[in-house]
Amino acid sequence: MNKRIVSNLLINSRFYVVVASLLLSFLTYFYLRINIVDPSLRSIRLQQLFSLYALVAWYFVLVVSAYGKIVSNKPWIHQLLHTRRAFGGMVAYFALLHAIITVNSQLGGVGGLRLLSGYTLVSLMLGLSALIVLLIMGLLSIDKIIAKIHFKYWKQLQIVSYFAGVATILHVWIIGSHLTSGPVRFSAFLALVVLFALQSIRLGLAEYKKYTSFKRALIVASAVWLVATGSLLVMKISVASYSKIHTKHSEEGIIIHAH
Amino acid sequence: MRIKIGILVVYAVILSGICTPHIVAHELIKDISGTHAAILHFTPEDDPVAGAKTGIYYDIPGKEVVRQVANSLKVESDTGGIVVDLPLQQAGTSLSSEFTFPTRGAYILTLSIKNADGTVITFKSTLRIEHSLNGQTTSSKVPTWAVSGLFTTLLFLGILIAVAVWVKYKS
Repeated sequence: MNKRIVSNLLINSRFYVVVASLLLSFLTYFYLRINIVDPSLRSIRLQQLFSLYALVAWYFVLVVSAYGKIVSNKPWIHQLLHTRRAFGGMVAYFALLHAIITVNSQLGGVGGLRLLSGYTLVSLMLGLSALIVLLIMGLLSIDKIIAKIHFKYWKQLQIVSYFAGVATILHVWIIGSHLTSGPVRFSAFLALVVLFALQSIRLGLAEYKKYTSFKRALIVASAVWLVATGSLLVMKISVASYSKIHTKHSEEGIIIHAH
Repeated sequence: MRIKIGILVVYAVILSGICTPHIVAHELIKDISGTHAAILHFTPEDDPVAGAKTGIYYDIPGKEVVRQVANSLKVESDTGGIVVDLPLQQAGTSLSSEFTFPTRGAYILTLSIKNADGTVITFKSTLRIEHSLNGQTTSSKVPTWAVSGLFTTLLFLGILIAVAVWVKYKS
């Protein structure tokens, strides 16, 4: 390999994110292979961890993007913004691994999908649509492709990832058994509220720059935050979650067969 | 500066791997004919402990299957020492029960759902209990390739961090 290419790679923080992602996936696999005997439980833990990595990386990308617009004069934020694309690739990579393991190990292959129905199928379809968007965005993040489609249009395309975000929230809410734990649910809610606040401030600042009206910026930021946070509460009330379905057993359960 | 961020990122990625939450999940099982499916999971965390109460949940897509009257869940140890019929609770499209597995080992779970037309759908699955309340765990031979893989990956991770530090100080 050309010496210049190697030295360019080594001074690029994106390179470290990509390699660390690959190594983390191997490390997780080997660690679980050693510590969990049952193959079924092992694949469950593996897909759960990969989805967790994808979500953490995605959250990082969104927080850094919003925070970068608010505190744009700090040099360190530019460095973090530079790593975003690599983190986007990391999100797509771990989401893909999560999907492959789920379908192969937990559903017994693609054929298992046709046996599903109701909320489970809806949740999986939402997850699949988010994965497709993530993979496309991941592919479009390659420098040469960005140059071809022009940076301006590429930035506009990023809006699609917000739809993928909504699909992912619903996917996790419906099927994510992690949310049966109160502290996990509270932490996830808090993390999203903080993210919405950062995005709202970002949009408010953009409004202020455009119209130099503080009142207008405040109204926009507050409205966006309230709508986003309110949507979470609406989802909690209107969409049956995994924990809600299981709580029903203890609250409304009817004994239909006993010896 | 870029290198500093790179090192921070590597640490963050490792840290997120170490902070594993306690979570539960589920697995799709097919009936003997392969035409019906149920999503099965156990509490706590899909990793039941011998001597402690275990929740057994079956989510069965298609309400017409669940709303039948003669369902049964049989639990038997693979050695044949324990055979128990468990009471089932129904909520929506799912059935659940609770059982305290007395010892570590493999158990065969058989859920039978009798339809109104007399046909029976049978789901059979095996559950391995690896832990007990007193902290004992089923020992198994750790595969050498997995240990080698783990250490090789850690070595590469170490090299990655060392390279990042080296490049930073060199520049």
